[in-house]
Amino acid sequence: MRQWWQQGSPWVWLSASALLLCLGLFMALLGLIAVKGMQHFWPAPLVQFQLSEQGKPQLGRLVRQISDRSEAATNRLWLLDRGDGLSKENAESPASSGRYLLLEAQQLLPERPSNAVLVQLHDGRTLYGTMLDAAEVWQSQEQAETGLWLELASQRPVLLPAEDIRAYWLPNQLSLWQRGVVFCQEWRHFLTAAPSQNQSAGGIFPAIFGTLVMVLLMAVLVTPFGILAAIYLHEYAPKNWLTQLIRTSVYNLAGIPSVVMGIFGLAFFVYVLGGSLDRLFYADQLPAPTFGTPGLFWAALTLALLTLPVVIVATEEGLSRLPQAQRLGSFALGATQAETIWKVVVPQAAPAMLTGLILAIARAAGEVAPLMLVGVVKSAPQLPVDMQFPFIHLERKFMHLGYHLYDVGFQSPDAEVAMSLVYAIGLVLLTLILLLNLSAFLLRQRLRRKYRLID
Amino acid sequence: MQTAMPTTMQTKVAIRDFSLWFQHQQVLDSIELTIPPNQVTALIGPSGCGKSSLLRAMNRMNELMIDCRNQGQVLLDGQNIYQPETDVARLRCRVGMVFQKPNPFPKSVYDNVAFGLRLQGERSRRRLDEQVESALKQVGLWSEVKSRLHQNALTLSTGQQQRLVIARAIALQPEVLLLDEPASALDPISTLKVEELIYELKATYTVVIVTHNMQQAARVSDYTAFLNQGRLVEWAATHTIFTQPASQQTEDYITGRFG
Repeated sequence: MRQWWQQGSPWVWLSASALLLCLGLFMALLGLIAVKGMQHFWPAPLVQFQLSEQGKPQLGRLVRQISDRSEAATNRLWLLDRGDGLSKENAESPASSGRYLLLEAQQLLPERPSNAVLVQLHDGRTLYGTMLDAAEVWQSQEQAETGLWLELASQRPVLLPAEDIRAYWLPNQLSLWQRGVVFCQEWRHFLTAAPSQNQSAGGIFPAIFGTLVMVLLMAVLVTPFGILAAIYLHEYAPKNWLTQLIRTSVYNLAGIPSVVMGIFGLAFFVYVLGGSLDRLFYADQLPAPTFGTPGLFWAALTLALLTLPVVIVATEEGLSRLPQAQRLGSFALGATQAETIWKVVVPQAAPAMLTGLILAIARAAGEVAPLMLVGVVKSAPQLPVDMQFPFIHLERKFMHLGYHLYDVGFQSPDAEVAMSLVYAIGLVLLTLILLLNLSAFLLRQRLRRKYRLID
Repeated sequence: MQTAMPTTMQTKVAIRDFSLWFQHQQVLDSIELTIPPNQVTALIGPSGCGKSSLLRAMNRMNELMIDCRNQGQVLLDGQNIYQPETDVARLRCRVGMVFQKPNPFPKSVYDNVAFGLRLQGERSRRRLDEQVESALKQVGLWSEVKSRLHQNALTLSTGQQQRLVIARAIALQPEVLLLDEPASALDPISTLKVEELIYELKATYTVVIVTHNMQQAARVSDYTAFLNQGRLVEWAATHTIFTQPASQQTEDYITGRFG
């Protein structure tokens, strides 16, 4: 025991368990988000319920169990989603209207009808009903329209025109394979479609696109500035207290709360810079602002400012790791300082610069708070990049995954039941950041191999 | 200072009353030294005696270090290189330098040798090829690397790397070549090759070498200068220094009694 202690084994175990804890938490986070996010699109069976003893059975989807604590006992209730009605006005009574219901266990019926159908309409509404055999209905109705006969809760059968229907399936009779197909189709729709009116339905393509464009623009803005600043700071600036002060200040800039950066972005970039641009170039459109209002460019610029210290610190780190002998070797061959920096120093410090860029992207893609002030909106009518001249519309407002997540999960009226959607958006955001990082990482590995230094 | 030199000898580099300070510490004190052309001059002395600083003074590399201050003159072909109007980059092309540890750039063998030539604005592929080949041949590396000219230079052995950086320096056809302990990081066989190389190089270049190794100084050099604590103690033909040193300090150092 004494020997075990003296050989330093406790430190090995201590550090290993710390690492294990970190890994465990990280895996738990990824696992939770992946599982919950995937669940959102897995076609769950539909159940039947009765609101009262003599009421007609209706169809719905169980969301989750909720425990309702009263003073006497804890009641377990089911939160149930019964879908959107055909139109907003057809609610017969206030008690039974609304999409979500709380049910007691005895109100649920055990059988799951096999002809229960889930219909997704193009406008984002979801309907749960009973599919009727078309031939049966045709005997009573004369016209032969194409579409789906559906019996919604306590209503006459209705014909849904085919052009309104985006997709439908019979959740209670799908095989595992068919469920998988539906799952993939719904994911594809989620990733490629625009959100419908009520945000919690439809896809998130504009948000993915907005995030991507904003992050790439941010990277384009921050990389040259950060690298040039770091080069000056490390290669040119005299090594005195002033340089050290500037360096310390830059390092501390990384600690400024992002929302403060957002305020600065709004006050300086949007109002001062944007306002001046408007007065100079878009005077004919005033008072309607063009650049003097939050938009994509200002958001990217604010994030660039936010991530600038990260790039500077990482680049300087790389520059100081480069052996002095490399610089001296270049000088001894008659290179000027500029030639030494561009031909010897920068190529070898490039991997470190990319590391800075990776960190900057990781930080920027996850930021939401400053963006709410400088350009992100709940729903943007147009994408920031399209086929209209000048193709990239820097002044437009845009959607962002992080903000969309916040909006769906905490701002929408259905927030209580949108949690699985929140996980799905979170999963997409996480995947996007991972992909961005991975591409920068691969680029860095390539450069590392090219400029491998043997110690 | 005791010198036993013919006064009529030719001069390539003349160091006149040269003193050097790093921050507030004096490193060199009134050095007077003459480097004859097409000869090998060795600078010897204990660690910290200022011999490397003296070497770097000849191509103004000291000013890249920390803040340094100097006094006196270093004349290259009669021109003071510390004149304000000196083109330092041009000076360093004329006075090449090789460091203690081989420091090839992580580029290909070819690009390493061509680095200085390209800086001079040489763009012709044919002339680059010729000069790279001739530089590599001069250092005896051509036959070893001609099949892998476009491989990373860091894949070469340490000895080959050191000869490569010598080739890199002489590709510029400098007039003076400064070698700062060029063999101290090498194994005996590589050391031997570098020493043979130095011996051959003096036909074309003026060579100044800093070394810790007395035998090496005795083997490769024609003149030897012994420095101690920033002062030049003795400077004479190598044969004289090693057989009948004028100063007691020199004798003690050479025979290993101090340093």
